[in-house]
Amino acid sequence: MNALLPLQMALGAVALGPLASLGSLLPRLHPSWLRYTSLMTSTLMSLLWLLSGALGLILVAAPAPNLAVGGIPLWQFRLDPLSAFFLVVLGVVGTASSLHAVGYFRQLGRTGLRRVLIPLPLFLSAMALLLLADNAYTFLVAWEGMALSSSYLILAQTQTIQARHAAYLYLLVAHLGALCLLAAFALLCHGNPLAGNDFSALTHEVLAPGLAQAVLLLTLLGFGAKLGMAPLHVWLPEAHPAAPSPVSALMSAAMLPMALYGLLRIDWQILPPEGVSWGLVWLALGLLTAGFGVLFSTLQRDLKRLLAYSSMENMGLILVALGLARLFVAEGSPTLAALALSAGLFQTLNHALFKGLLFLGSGSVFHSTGTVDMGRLGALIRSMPQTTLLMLIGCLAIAGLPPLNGFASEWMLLQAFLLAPQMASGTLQAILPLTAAGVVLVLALASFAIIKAFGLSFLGQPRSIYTAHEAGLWERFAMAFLALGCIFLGLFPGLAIHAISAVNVLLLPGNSLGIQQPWRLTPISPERASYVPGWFLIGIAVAILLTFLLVWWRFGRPLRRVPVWSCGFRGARTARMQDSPAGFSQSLLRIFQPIHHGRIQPDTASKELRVELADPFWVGLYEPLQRLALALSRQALRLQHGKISSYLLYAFLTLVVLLVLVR
Amino acid sequence: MQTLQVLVALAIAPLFSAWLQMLRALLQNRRPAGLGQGYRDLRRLFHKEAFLPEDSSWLFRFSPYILFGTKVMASTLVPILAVDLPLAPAADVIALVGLLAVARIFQVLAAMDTGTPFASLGAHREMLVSALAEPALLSAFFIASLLAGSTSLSTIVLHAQEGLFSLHPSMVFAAAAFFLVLLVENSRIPVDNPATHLELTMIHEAMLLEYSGRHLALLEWGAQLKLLLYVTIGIALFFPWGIADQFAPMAILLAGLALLIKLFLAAPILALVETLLAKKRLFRVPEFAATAFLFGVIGLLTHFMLGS
Repeated sequence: MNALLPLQMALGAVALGPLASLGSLLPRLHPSWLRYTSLMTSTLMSLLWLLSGALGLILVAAPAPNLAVGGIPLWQFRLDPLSAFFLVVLGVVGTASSLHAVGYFRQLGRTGLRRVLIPLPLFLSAMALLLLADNAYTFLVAWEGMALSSSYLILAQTQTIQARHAAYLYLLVAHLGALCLLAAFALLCHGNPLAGNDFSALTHEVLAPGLAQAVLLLTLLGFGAKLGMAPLHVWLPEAHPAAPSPVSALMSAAMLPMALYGLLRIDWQILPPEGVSWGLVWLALGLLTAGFGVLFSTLQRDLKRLLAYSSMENMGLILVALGLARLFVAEGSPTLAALALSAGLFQTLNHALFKGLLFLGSGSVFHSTGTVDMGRLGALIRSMPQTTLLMLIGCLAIAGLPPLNGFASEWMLLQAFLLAPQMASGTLQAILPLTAAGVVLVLALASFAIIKAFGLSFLGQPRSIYTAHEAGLWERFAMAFLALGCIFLGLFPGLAIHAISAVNVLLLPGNSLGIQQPWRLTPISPERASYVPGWFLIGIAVAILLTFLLVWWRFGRPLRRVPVWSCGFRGARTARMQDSPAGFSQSLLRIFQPIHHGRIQPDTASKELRVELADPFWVGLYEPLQRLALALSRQALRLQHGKISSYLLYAFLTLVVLLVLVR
Repeated sequence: MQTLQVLVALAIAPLFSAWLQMLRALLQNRRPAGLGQGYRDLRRLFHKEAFLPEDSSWLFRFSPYILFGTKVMASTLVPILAVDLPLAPAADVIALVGLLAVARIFQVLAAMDTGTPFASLGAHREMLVSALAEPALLSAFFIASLLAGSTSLSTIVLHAQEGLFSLHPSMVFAAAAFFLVLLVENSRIPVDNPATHLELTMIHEAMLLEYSGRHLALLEWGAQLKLLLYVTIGIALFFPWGIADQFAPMAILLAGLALLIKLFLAAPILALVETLLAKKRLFRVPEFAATAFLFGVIGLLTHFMLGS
């Protein structure tokens, strides 16, 4: 088979994106036609990426062939296993989101639809282009396209002040990040990113040590801003809830991993991981992000905001895994590095599946009830039984419960930590156990947050009056696709690890984990540790079924429905006697008071207590910066007082200075 | 062999709880109800009619079976009588913790499903306490598996049987952390009172309030099984002598005998703790669980520092 075929297929799909956007501009097209054609094109594009990504992972040709288009500027493309893996992630999320969007946007008119359907295919295409890019120019164009199109998408549904603020903040942080990346590429390419050196050519260049450190720092800032890495995360909890849900799913499950891709591509492949310090930086920032994200997600009231913070936590965990892998490389144990790297990449794929599912589900909830405020929801299990079941699968997966996929990747990450003592260095021996303890605390709190979300929204009594209806067929189909993915990867984690091994070979030359059987994970040896989710599932299922049948056979009597007993309370039971979102996490609010400075405020209008949280980074870092910027601009204002003579003086002085300097 | 172990665990779980109750009664100058009380209670509950609260969903109805099933599954993984059981390679200690988490989460979800104030109180307290206890449990297991060089329970127990970590300092911290977690996770005093029906202080019992009949019987039996599992895990990790390493009938018999003796001796410790301590205020419970976590972390640090 032609080795270029997957790349050509993926590029063809990229080209479909702008076409679909232009197609949305056609006049006199009926809105539902517009919706179907455009979103089906997006689905087709995503499926093509899924296919080409899978082909790219299976048909590993080393080195992967390169394709160049144009003169100056030169566009260069390549599909190697690293791109292919992230292309699979994009394909999965893109397919599900596009299918969900067919149902989600069904009530929009032509104008509303155009707001979504013009930027959406461009967004998808830009992400795919980013993965296929093989030189600095192509990469940066795609990166910028991704940021711009997604900021339009944030404003596609609501144009409230908050949404505009969110989009502005997002654009601001994205551009600060892009500036850092531009500087990093300029340093990498010796001042000329347009020179057209492909990435493999950059790999062989030797940079001065100081320069390499600068590039590492700039890329960490640039990609970290997109990743939601603390303290650059401020845009994330604002932008995700403001966007329409299929877009939130794309942003959270596909766009955040693009930053991981960038980190791996530049800070790992082009600048190979040497030395301990950057691994430690990644580890520390990852843990900070994860801990901060999970703490804030437990305290949220808005379902989508809770999920957004949970994305931050997941990205933090992945960063921890990658940092751990770097440390292992620096310590000279490539097999362990392969284990940690696989855990991180596997978690990326899993996060795409379950976070995509949960964001899509939250969209269906919004569609059905008109709110995602958990203080207003409840009892959706009765009105939306199928959506609830699918969401339950997503929640159990993200809570890291066996035998679903979230558990498998967390298991691998913990295994990597447990194997660490074979490392020699002394300082690491103090840091790693603390990190491991931090990681398990984060995982436990993550399940707290997600059970809060599920329990409050889907169980109990409805907390306000609404008439909920089951999600549409398209929406349920899209969610079922992701839920099946969660179950499938949970039962056959070996398949994912096997696919990831191609990436390992690329990033850690010559090293990979042993061949994994599809249904079991044995990272090092069966005596060390093994996990067979299939047996697990069968064991649990048999035990449950036997219990049920035996109990039914021996003691089965018809069940009777009675009013709740509630310790004999006979008064009128209202839904407000249940926990509110603030009530559920009140103890955590108390325990972590010093970190989030949350205050409980009475809300007189709804007769409720509300929790007001303050992001310590916002208060401690961004507000002083803001004040500084304002103060500086006020000083600069003194120069402008509208007198033409003084302006002429400025011009003259500048001229003199320039003449002296340049000559 | 596998089924034998499960059946033994299921059979002695009520007995162990009854023995514990009996010791507590004796220590508190009450007249004990006898060793058969556990079985009598279960029998009575199984024969009673079961009610479902209005507008509760399938989650409420099937959770007892899911809980019981997962705990039965857990009892196949723990080396109660013998190591290297057929299902042992399926899961290691981390997966075991995950399995117990499945049970807990379904219990919490079932409690929230009823939408009653007490149940949701119990639900969020349970989630809070376990969010701190689960890391503690994992770090205790981590210490053991770091010492044994494996996370497989069978390997850890075999390693322990050879007496290789009997006197390791980090193991002391692991044991302390594990003991505290045992109290927390099985809702014993000083964290929760298994005998209380004082609504405002309950954690575990508050989640069972709406259950009756055979569902309640399954939940009670499951709770007894969980206590037994924790105690046997503790025994297997810290006092592993006598667990059979081959499937000969004689070895199994000896293992069973050793298990009975060890359980017989373990109960007085628990009973003593429960009699001597008062129940803590609810706001102090997270501190208690955090102490367990701290012990675990210190143990991990000790292990890495001593570098063995």
